[in-house]
Amino acid sequence: MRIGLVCPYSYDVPGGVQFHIRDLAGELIELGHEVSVLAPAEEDTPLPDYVVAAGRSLPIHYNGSVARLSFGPLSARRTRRWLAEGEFDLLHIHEPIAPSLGMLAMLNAHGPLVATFHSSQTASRALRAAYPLVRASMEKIVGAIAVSEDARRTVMDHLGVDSVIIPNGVHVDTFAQSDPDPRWQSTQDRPVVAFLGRVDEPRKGLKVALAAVPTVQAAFPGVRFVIAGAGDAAEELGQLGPERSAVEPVGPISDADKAGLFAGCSVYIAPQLGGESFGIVLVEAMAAGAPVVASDLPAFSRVLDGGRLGRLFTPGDAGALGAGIVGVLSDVEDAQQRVEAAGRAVWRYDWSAVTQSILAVYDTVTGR
Amino acid sequence: MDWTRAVLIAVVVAAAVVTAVWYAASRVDRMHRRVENAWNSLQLQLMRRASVALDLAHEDLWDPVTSMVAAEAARAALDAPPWGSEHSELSAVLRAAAGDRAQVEADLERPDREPLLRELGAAWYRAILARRFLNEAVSMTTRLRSRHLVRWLHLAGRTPMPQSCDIDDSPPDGLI
Repeated sequence: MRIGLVCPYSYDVPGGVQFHIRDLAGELIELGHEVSVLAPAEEDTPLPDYVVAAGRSLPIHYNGSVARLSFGPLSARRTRRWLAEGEFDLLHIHEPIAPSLGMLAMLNAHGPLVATFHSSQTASRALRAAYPLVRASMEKIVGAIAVSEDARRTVMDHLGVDSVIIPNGVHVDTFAQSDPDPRWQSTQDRPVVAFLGRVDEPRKGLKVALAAVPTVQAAFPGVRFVIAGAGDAAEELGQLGPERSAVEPVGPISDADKAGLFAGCSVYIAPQLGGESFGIVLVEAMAAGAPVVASDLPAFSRVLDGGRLGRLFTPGDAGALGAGIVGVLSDVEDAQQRVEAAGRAVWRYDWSAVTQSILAVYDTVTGR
Repeated sequence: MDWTRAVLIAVVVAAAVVTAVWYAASRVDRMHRRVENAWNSLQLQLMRRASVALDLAHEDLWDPVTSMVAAEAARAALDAPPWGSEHSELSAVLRAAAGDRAQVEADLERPDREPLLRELGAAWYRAILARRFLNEAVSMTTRLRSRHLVRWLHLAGRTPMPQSCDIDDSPPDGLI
């Protein structure tokens, strides 16, 4: 199949949507499809040969953050030319309501479209202004995909369009094969408990994690709590008593470091209080072989199959979290069984499986 | 009143009206084609699912009674239109034949059963998608056709109001 993918955000700056498109394009090419990606990028940005640069982008305040968007007569011309020369069997637009290449492509496209909605932010004022024009061309979207339940609800509420949910993929292999990072490797006397998430965002649950430290210390005095994630946690850490010595804030970490942390730790904890739509980090930890103790939120319970693949505790209950961690550290056999089952279960979130779902959408839309 | 000016205004207004009507008519037309394509796609995917189900019934996967019932349901579905209740019946029969999640997961681990079951899962998923996309197209078309301009000028012509497809296509637990 000849597939055209349209990326609204600049390839010059990495981001979630760009990674999604890069990974999807890679998988599709591996399966033998011809893929062309249209994306905003500077002329001198090094790009894979399947990416067509649509020209420079400008940093614009859009949807509550700054995004690098591409618009104007040059972008419009290049988009039209790319569409005309591509002769695609299928056009797949990402974030079609962002005022950038995706919207341009949607307005100019003729054949059936597949569109993926990533954002779960509320629609901007700009969108409401452009709404009549955009709504008419949204009728070209034959297959609408949302990456999460939240994104699906947003699109439903603001545009009245229903979509099927296909989540982001995880590279299970990368996590499964990663080596433990020696800095955070558990030992017999010093087990490592890993936390990952913005430390100054209350709903990520750092407070709950820290309140569980004494319980775990009572059973395992050498325990280390490795706290990874951006933000300023000085206040929370300052309130700690003697257990402060067990807590090691390491700041934001790279993807490679994250995999190394998961591969070497004894427990990954996810004490989020709510607002989680999927729990991709849980899947990554499970893929790397880390036992998981997570809040009993709907999204987490789904990923952990109701507790079969990891332990669940009442959200916000630090005592229960502490007991869960102690449970994992003391009943090694039980933890090992769950880790093995989890290692098999995570394959359904692998990019290969996600790509098959997206190809199913392509087949349905093109009537193959 | 200056006659040329009046004529000019009339021409501009008429052109605007004609453009608006043409635009609305082409949207309605596009949605009608989309609904038709969606029905064709659903038909194709349901046929594929039924034919994989028939293959499964001919394998030595289930007990003879289950296989017989499944084969019968699959044959009926192959002859049915995409809105036919035969597809709902096939779904129910296949759910009963496949068993619970534990059974499906165990079967997916067995090399002799896995390929056909995966094929059934893939076909089933496509049928679910096709029906979702069809119903979405139908509700968009209904909304568009309820607009005053479209109704008063009969822009939908003689094309009957599209109907949604309400067959039961929930898959066995663990298959998809």
